[in-house]
Amino acid sequence: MPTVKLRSALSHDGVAYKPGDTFEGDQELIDTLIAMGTAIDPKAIEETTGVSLEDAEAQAKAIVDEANDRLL
Amino acid sequence: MTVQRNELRQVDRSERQYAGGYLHRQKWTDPGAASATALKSGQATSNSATTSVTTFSAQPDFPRNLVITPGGTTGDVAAGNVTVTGTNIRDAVITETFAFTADQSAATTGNKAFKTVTSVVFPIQDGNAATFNIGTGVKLGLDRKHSEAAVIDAYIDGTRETTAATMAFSASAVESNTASTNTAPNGSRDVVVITMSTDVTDAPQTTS
Repeated sequence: MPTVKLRSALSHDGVAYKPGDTFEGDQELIDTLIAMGTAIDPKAIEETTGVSLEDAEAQAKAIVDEANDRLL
Repeated sequence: MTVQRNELRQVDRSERQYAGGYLHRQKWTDPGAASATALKSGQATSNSATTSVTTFSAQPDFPRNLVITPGGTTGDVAAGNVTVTGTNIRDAVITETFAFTADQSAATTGNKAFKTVTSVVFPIQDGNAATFNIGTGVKLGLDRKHSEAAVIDAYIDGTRETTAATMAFSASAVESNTASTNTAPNGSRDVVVITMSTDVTDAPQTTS
C-alpha cells in the first residue's frame, strides 16, 4: 500500500499518528487526506521545488549533520 | 432509419437496450429499513486530529444512499466536509462529501448509492465530544443510468404504488441514479421499480 507523510495529526481506526509520521493506507484514503491537507502531497512538492520529498529530507539531514559536526 | 452501432443491444434474454430509451425492471428482495447506525454508531472525533475510519460494523444491504448524523456534544461539530469513499453498484470507486455546518445536530443525507464503504474521513472538530453515526437511507441504487427522472411504476410485494417513487438521475454517474418508493423499505417486503433507461451497457442487472 502507498505511504504518505502527515502534515497534521491523524486518528486512524483509533490509532494516533503525529505530524511528520508516515501513514500507510489505500490510495483513495491517502488522496482524501491530501485533499484535506492532513497529508503532504509528495508530487506537489516535487513539481514546485524540483526536488522529491525524500531528497529534500536527505538534504536537510545532511545540513543538520554538518552543523552538528561543526559544533563539536 | 439507420440504427447506429451500439444503439441497440441485447444484454441477456431479459433486456433489450436502446439508446433512445428502454424499459428496465429492477427488484430488491426485502431491502432493510433505513438505519442511522447501520455502518457505525457514535464514532468519536477530535479537535486536534483528523479522524479516519476504515472498519465498520456492517455494509449496506444493497447499494443505497448514506446518512451521517452528528451526536454527542453537537456544539463541538465544526463546519466542514466529511468524505466517504467506497464503491458503486458496478464496483467502481466513488467518493461523496457530506457538508456540515458548525454546531449542526441534524443529519446530512447523501445522494449517491454506495455498494460498499471503505473509508470515512472526518475533519478536525471544534471540540472533542462530537460523535457521528453513519447509516443508510431510503434511496435505493439503480443499476442503469437515466437521462430523465423516468420512473414508470413501483411495486411493493407485487402491489402497484399509487404514489410514484422519487427518482434521482444522472446520465454519467450510475451511483447518482436512485429511487425511493412511497412505501419505505422495512426489511420484509420486496420492491420493484420500472424505469425508462437510456444506458447502453454490458453491466449486469442486479435484480435480486
